[in-house]
This record gives sequence, C-alpha cells and structure tokens, in this order.
Amino acid sequence: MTTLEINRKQYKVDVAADTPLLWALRDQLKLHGTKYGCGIEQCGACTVHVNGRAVRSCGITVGEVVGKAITTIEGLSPDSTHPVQQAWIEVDVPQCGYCQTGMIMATAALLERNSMPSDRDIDRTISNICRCGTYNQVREAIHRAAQLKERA
Amino acid sequence: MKVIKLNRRDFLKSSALAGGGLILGLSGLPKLAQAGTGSALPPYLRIAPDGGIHLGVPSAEMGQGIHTTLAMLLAEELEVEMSQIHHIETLHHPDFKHPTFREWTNSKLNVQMTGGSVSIRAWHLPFRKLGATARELLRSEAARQWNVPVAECRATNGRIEHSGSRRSLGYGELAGDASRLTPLENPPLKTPEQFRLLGKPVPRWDTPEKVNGSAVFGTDVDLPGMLYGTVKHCVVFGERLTGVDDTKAKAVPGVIAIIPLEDQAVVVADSTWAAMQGAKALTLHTSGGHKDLSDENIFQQFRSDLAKAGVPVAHRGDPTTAMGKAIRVLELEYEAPMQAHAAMEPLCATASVTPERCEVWAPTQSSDFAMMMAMGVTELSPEKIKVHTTYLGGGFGRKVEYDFITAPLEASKVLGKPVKVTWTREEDTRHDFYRPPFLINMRFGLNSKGIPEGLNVKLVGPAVSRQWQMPPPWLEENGYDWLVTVGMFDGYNLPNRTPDLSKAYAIPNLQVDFVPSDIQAPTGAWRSIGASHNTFALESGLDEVAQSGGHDPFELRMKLLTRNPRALAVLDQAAELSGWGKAPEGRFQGMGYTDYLETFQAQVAEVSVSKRGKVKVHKITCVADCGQVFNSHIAKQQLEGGILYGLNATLKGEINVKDGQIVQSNFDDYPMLKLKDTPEFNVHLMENHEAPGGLGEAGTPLIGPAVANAVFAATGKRIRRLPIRPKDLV
Repeated sequence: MTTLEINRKQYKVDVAADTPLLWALRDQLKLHGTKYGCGIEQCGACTVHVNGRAVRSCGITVGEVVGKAITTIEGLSPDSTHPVQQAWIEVDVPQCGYCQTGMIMATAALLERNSMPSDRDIDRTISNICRCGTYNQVREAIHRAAQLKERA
Repeated sequence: MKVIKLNRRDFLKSSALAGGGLILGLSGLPKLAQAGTGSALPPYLRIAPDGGIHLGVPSAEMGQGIHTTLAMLLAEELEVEMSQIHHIETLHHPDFKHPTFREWTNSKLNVQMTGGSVSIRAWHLPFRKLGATARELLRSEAARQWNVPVAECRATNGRIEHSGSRRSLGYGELAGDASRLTPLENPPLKTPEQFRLLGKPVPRWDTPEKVNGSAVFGTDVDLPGMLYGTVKHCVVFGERLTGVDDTKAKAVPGVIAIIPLEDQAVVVADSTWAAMQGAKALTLHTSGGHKDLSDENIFQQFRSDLAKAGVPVAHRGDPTTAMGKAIRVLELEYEAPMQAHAAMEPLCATASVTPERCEVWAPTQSSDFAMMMAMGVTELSPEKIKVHTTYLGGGFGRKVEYDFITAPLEASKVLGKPVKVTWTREEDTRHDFYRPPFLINMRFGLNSKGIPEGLNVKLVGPAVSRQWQMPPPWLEENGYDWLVTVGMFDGYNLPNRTPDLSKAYAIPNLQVDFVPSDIQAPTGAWRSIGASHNTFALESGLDEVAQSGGHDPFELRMKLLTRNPRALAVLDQAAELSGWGKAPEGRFQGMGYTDYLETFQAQVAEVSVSKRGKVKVHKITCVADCGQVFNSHIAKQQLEGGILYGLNATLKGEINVKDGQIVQSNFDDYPMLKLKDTPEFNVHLMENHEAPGGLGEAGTPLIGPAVANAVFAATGKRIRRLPIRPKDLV
C-alpha cells in the first residue's frame, strides 16, 4: 500500500511503485477526469499538477509522487469556479471534450507561473493535442482566464 | 471464440422484432410524448414531476454538439429554457433508425447511426415536432383543468398561463394528466421570426461536465466487479492467430487471462496498466498475412489499374468530341496517402455478458452495429441485449466501425464478469480503418481561352464499403461505391437518387469513372469520405487550369458557377473577407470551393513558405452557406474543427504501409497540429432559411487544396500529393 496526497486528501493505493500515476488515478481511485491518450507524454490528456507543476501523469510513477501534492481536475475547484474553468465555460471551448481536462490543468499551471501569458508564451507552453480543433478557443479562454484570475 | 458473422438480413429481422416493427421517425412521436405509460420501449421525452426535461436522442455526441442542438430544437417549440433540460442521452431505440440513410438507399440501410453529417438534416423537424406535440398536450390539459378554451392557454418558460386570469401551472404539474390526452398529428410549428433559441450561439449543454472531468466517455465506464483489458492484434494485415505464448504475459502481476480471438488476443487484468504490460509480454503465433504490401506496390497497382475501364460515376454532354476539339489537354495526376483517424480517445468498450443478458457500453457511432456485434458474440436475442452509448472522445468515422466491441464481449462471455477493454494508442494507430489511398487522373480539355470545355476523370482506389461485414446497399455489383466517389461530380449519385449536376461546375462535357482497386489494408470512412481526396484533386486541378490560362482562380470559379447563385455568393463573400488578391507582403493566397453535402463553401488560405520549405498557414477564411443554422457557435466550431482536421492531413503526418504493416504507431511518429500551428480564422455563415446542409465534415476536404494552391502562389511548385513536405518545396 502506498499513500498519495491527491486533491488535499490522503489516498491508499495498492499498486506497484513503477505504475504510472495515470493508471492509479483512473483504475484504482476512479478519478476519471484524467485521460489516457498516448502513454508517451505527447498529448497531454493526462495532465495533473504535482507540487503545482503541470505533469503528464502517464510518464511519472506512483513511486515518484509519494509525499508530493497531486491535483487532478476533480480537485481544481469543488464547483468549477476556478478561473480557468470559468473562462472555459464562458468561451464554451469543448467539442468532444476528451482533451479538455488536460488542457485546463496545463493552463491552470501556466497561469500560476505567468499570470498574463502572451500568445508566444501560450504557443511555447501549451502543447496538448486536440483533434476536434478547439485550439483558437483554448487560446481565447487562456487570455480570459488570466483576466478573471487577476480580478479575483 | 470465433466471432459469429451475421448477415444483414438476419440482423434486420431480429432488430425488427426488438422494436415491434420498423417505426419511422415521426410516426412514433405521439406515442413518445406519452412514454412511460406502460410502453415497453424506453421513453425519449419525459417531463418529470419537477418540470425537468429528460431527453433521449438518436445521435451520438462526439463533439459535434448534436445533443445541444437537438435539445434546442425541442426546447424552442416546447417553450422551455435550456436550463430545464435536465438529462440528455443517446438512446438506442427502433424509432431512431436514420431517415436520411433510408431515403438514400430505398430503406435498405435501416440503422441507428451518427455519421455522414446528416443528423440535423434528418432530425431537426422531428425534434421540433416532438416539442410542439408535448406543448400542445400541456396546453390542452391546462385548458381541461381550468375549463377554458385552449386558445386562452399560453405556453411560456415551462408553464402554461391562462390569459383571462392569473392562473398558471408548471409543466411538471400537468405532465402526468397530459399524457392521457390524444396528441395532435400536426401541431403548429413556430416561424423563424418567433425563434428565441434557434440560430443563436446558445452555450453547449455538455460544457459544464466537460470542464470538471465528470463527463463519462467510453473509457470512463465503471461497473462493480469489472476487469480491465487491452488488445494485441496480429501486426501484419490479413494475419490470423494460430496460438500464443503467454508464459511471460501471465507472469505480469495482475494479469488474469489471455483470450485469443481470430486476429487478436485480449489480455485481461485487474487494471488497464497490468493488461497493457501483459500485452507487451505476450507473443502471438500467426499464419498468413499480406507481408508484401507496401505504399509502393499499392500505388503501382493503382497505376496499372488506371488503364482499366471504370464504373461510370458522372456523365454530361459529349466528352469524347469535346476532348477531341480541345485546343489543349491538361493532364494532371493527384495522389492521396492513407490517414488514420487518431481520435483522442483510443478505441474502447465495456461489456457485461451472462448466459441470460448482455449489456454494452461503448463510444459508438452506431448502437445498431454494436447490437449486431453483441448478438453475434452472445447468440442472445436482441431483447436481451442493451447498448448504452457514452460520450465519444472523437469519432471522425472510426467509431462507426464495430471491431472494437468484440474484445470486451468475448472476454466478458468467457470470464463471467464485466470487462472494459481500452486499446493502446499504438494499437489504435496501427489497426484503424484508414482513409483509403487514391490516385486521381484528370484530363481537362481547354478551349482557346483556356476554359475547360471537357473533362475526363478516373478515380482509382479501393471500394471501401466492400470490406464491411454488412455491405451497404449503395455498393453496386460492379464496385461503384459512393463513399469514395462523392466530391467528384457525383451529384449525390446514390441508388435512390437521380444524379444532380446542375449546381456543379459548368464544364459542359464530362465523364467521371471509378476503377475499384481493392487493397489488403483496412480502409473506411474518414471525416468527409471521398470528398477528402476528390476535392484535393479537383480544386487543385482547377487552380492549374486557371494558372495555365492566365485566369484568376476566383474569377474562373465564378465563371463556372454562374448557374449557382448560392455558390457565387459564398465566393464573393470569401474574396471580400479574405482580401483576395491583396495578401500582405511575403504572404500568398490560395482558394477552393465545394458544395459537399449541400453546404456551399469557399475557403481562402494565406500562407508563407520559408527558405527551408516550411509552410506556415497564417489565416484561413471560410464562408459557408449551410442553409438554416440552428446554433451559430456550434456551426462555427464544426467548420473550424473540420478545417483543422484537414489541415493536419495537409501539413503533418501520413500513414505508410511497409512489409504488410503500418509504419507509424503513436503521436511521436504520427504528429498532430498543436496550438502553435493553428492559424487565425475568419468563419462566416451565410444567413438564410434554406434546408440545412451537412456541417460536421464540410470544412475538412477543402483546406488541403486551398493551402496547396497558396503554396503554388508562393513557390511556383505544384503539390500533387499531400501532406506537403518541406523537401518538395526546396
């Protein structure tokens, strides 16, 4: 049994230490908002925060995150009131929605480091893949989230 | 362990039993308004005592916003706000067999399916009528209770109000008693001027659950006692499994069972990760397979088949004489490589099979095809099988197939527990039903002014529908397959339709033939089907005709479309919005036009090309006349998303075959467009009340030629094969 701190709660998981965090979240803890897309840290659908940094959870093991603060989409806010989620709702970004939770997590981490990212900053940082083509709405929502966050 | 194949007739017969007859669209509606009153069928409109609206819809939600739009159509007529729609699900129901596919195929294709950009076209009126039927029942019930004329009872905001007094009742209070009344056959519908919701950018109903992680996709299904699996296919196309060496796989902690099937093995474990590790450690023994198959010999075959006589697709005038009289013949050849669908959600499905019952949960574009698979594997009758359609994490035509339903069914049948099977990205990429490779030969016969008077086209490639387990009724004996000919003057040449070329380019003499040239690799429906390769060839070809005759590509298209005022309007608007002919310094423009699925559309791409041959697309202007628009936000999402899907196939990867197998496997070797690659968009919708055309696929086929034409303007190099590679431009 390994204890993990996820969304400010302690969870016990019964998996080998080399299991990717993604699969402990999804199959053991039923935190399904974190998605599997590629398994090789290319697409970002599985993005979570580890000690506040955006991390692709398919590429980090349970053993590596013991004692660290993990946040998943379920823990970003209790009621979708995080500025990034609010901006996403305002701009009405999602299509199929599968990649969106990863996009939101990546954006939330970006705004913690850079409160007013430029288009160039966004291009450099947000490398998640979306096949429905929501990218321009994602960009608009990132700028909007930065405004909302500043006001809050 | 073998999948039992059902023929189409058996399937249709049994599903008819399940539904108590093949009830068509509207004929089922009055009954539905009263659903819940003893019918064995699930209700698709329920007004709960709290006034909440619970809605079952025929179409799968795969990002195209169909749940929202169908709910809006209903809410408009029912006089409720979108906030009163408490529940929307894709419901598997005999009333939901697709009327457009029936119309196109003389009722031979009679299935519930989401695809072909025809959801709105088929369901907009039924859903308005459903809302209006319920509204009239509620008005009548209120009038009855108050003993006043119905005309004095007004429906508004989820309540019926009496104009002569201050009395009002909520829908929830009236619903139970209203269900005893006889519904109107033809309830009055609102006029477009009366619309509160339709046409407006109403927020998507599914957004809240898609931003907090609670939306349930196929991959998120979770059942008590459920096991987890993954699949490992034979690598080479056509290979069959003869056995497995599972010693190492079974040694992986958590692995429970290895179940060999015809061309794959299912690895079942106590977690998806363990199953994936088990699959990695598993050795498959195989026989057969088309080990020699490669891109080279596929296109060699196409080239040699080019000499064969084809199946006629379109004919007009006297092409032989016109070609003979031509001052100049411009012969052009275009090639399209294979592409994978690469939906963000890898293929997955969950099944729970017992000797008496079967339930399937799947991100499927066709609950009827999923039902067919379940019947084949379990040998149960359809009334013992239930298919649940989850949200799809992208479909794009891949999830209209049903191969991915097999593994969980077989595994659950053997193990007696629910099993969720998730494919790895690698399996998803290497075992797709790919966009078919195609070779397109065009001969334009030009007059002295360089205007085409004649055109001969030969399309060479696989008749993809031939591979389907249930051959579709549009597939003729001779191999004519609408799925791959659409987009090349086919004029909607379906079995039950007279080809209509009146809106196409006015080239007075033409002959289009299709030479079926099947290949030993699985091909299927890829967003925009045949239009994908045909539009690339035709729109690039017209650009070549324009360049060779010294015509402006915009003017040439205008000249060839004078009989199609809707086409002229979108071209004009696109030229104006894009600043056609006035590109900024260092940037170059290319244009294209299509009337795919009765959506008339022009696109202009603005690009620059670096010295190293890297193409940057700066701006895309898209003007579409898709008839009446019901949700302008979703309509624009569909066009923009469709364009980016096509742009990916224009600028990024391709799928290659070598030694009988797919070379690519994941996003590292099959790269995708990202935010940094996304151009600025200007999407403009023409406003009118014409019948709605298709939108889900409309944007995809046109961007390739628009970008390729812009690249020609920038470099003088003609792209005759996509994707555009830097080495072709330096």
